[in-house]
Amino acid sequence: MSTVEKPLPDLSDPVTAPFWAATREGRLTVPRSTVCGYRLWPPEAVCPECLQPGFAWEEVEPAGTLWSYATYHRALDPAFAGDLPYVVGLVELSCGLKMYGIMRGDPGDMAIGRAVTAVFEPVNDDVTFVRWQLV
Amino acid sequence: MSTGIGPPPGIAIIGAGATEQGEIPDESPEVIAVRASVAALRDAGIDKSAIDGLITCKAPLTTHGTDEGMGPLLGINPDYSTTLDYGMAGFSLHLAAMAIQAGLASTVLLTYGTNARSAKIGFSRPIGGSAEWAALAGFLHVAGPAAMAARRHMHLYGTTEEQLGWVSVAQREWAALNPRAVFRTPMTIDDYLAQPYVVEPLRRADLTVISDGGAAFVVTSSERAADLHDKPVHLLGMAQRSAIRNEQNEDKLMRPWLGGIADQVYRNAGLGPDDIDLAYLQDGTSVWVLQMLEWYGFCGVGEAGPFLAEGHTRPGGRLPVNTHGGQLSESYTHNWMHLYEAVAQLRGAAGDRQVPAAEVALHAQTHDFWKGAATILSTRSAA
Ligand SMILES: [Zn+2]
Repeated sequence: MSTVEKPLPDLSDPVTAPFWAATREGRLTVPRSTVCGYRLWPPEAVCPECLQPGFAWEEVEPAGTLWSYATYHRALDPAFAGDLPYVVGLVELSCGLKMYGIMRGDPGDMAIGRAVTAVFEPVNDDVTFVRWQLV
Repeated sequence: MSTGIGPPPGIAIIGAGATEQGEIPDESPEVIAVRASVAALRDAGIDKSAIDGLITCKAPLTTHGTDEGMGPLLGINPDYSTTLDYGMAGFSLHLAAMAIQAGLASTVLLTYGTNARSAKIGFSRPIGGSAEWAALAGFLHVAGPAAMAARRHMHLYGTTEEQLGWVSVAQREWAALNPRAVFRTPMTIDDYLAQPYVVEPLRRADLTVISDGGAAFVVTSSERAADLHDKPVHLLGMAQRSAIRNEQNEDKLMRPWLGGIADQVYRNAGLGPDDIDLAYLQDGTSVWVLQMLEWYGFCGVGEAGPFLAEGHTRPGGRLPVNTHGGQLSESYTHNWMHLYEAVAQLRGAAGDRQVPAAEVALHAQTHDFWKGAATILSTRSAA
């Protein structure tokens, strides 16, 4: 295994903290502008449509389809050396937004268009990552 | 959407200079840029005192190469000077043209130098506004999104790894004819396919080499150029477009907005893809070339795989692409060397790899997924 720690999210960032609070509870949420209703991923500090701050975090179905994927055979970041080969997927959520995430399961089984579902993986008391697996 | 800048801009390149490429262990990026500048000024046949505009390009992921850092080394106080962060030849060239058209300067020096290889500046880090999210997913290096784009292309259009491989193999064939290229050892398509994956479906040969090197250009009005150089290279059209909404864009990885740049640059030049003799397509990864062949109209969208496998981009092909070997084989200099090669080819000065009767070149670059620029260049002053 790698001796380099994997990156962890900054839980003090108000732009993203609600996401991590929800994943701790096994829920997938995305920000929606409280002014114009625009939904976006990844989160930003202001709504890019109405240019106003203020988001409500909305629970979305933790499922979608695999839009594309990349299979890492080399540890371009030493923190992931112990995971090789690993697959990063781009998941098109049922709500239409796209999210990057590590795929669980056999890399050889991946295929664009396959249905996927979120897996909530706690790494410590504060952080739960969202990974994805084929349905 | 911009409708473009209108008629041919009346701008020309009168000087091109480059250092050796590869490893320059004992020089700073600034010193490398000075050496390239000396070569460009010599080529232009002018003294540095004639320079009243300076545009520098910061070496990627460093603070090197600002105009304020270059001024003391070049010994000039140009009226107009600035630095582009993501630099690159195409954006710098357009800025130089705009500075001249706006009357801010008459003769502009563009410089770039990097010691990225010697300084071990890698690209194994997430890039862009959504970088932290990518880092958490181990989505590192431009190879990741490029691999995803390639995978998607294969899914949609049946493109094969072998077809993609012809980007790198063809460029290696060109590099074998270029004494300046870092990678000159022959590579067949079987050699390519035998390479292990880095980020599947991409192999080592699909990814740029990190290298040291510099390039510089002297740009002026076409009118002045005629008095200064016997073979000025004119800008027949330029266009840019951005996709800086990044992940919010509908289809970030496939970069369909490049088609807008193509439409605009062809319209400005009064030319089309069939008029292009040489294409310089920025190739941080081979996937960029695959995409740009399509968006710039050299084949239909989805058809770049067969187009490549038919050999059109190879020496002797009907659309020579990156005839110096590009960033995949010559060196990684943020596509400054693409421009250097375009100028050399158009002047008929490209030695063993000279493409006969080449008159019109497309120089197209992208700043990853965020923006792009294209220029059509020719020794003819009008289309
Ligand atoms: Zn809004």
